[in-house]
Amino acid sequence: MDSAGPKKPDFRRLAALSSLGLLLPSSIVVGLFFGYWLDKVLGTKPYLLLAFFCLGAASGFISLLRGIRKYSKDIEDDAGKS
Amino acid sequence: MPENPDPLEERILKRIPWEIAAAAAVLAVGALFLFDWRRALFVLAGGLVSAAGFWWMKRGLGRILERKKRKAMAVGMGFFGVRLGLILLIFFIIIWAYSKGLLAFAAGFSAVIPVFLGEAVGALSQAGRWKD
Repeated sequence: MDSAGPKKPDFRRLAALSSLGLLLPSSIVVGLFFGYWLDKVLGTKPYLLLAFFCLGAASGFISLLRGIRKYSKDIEDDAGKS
Repeated sequence: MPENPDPLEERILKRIPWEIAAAAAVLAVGALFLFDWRRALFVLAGGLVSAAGFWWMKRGLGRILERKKRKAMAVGMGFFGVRLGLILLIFFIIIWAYSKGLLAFAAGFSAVIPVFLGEAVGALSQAGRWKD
């Protein structure tokens, strides 16, 4: 193609950072809403809300750490290649 | 972060926290009309916490990647542990003090999701104009 357009950004890095940014909030919110709904259905307010909120936060945190490890490894690999 | 980040990419990453705050503000205006000012305030607060969380994560990630590998994960664990602790504390305070505002806060907190979707759609719509 022509050279007039802007340079193609590094999609991999953007996607990695976007997914890292989404991991914790989405896990917390899913756990929270699920716990809230179960509390409403089963009448256990607020125990299941707290339990699922903590589970969501813990799973989000673990996924975040895994994501960071993978992201830093990718960057090291890229640096090794160049 | 890499030593020489792409300017376009850096611009996108810099504007994301502002977009999260703006999306939460729009949601808060909606909540103001549909519910009451307290819930609107909680929506806005959730969005601001989410925006600050993303900004903090991006900044922290840069610091982690600048260090040696073995030390980096320990520092990263501590750093993100503190971040998680603060988020948990905010949610617990809301659950115990004003549980009616919890869903509103969670709605504002999840404003990050439509923002990332919007960025993805925007990036894909520009894909034809990029040069390799």
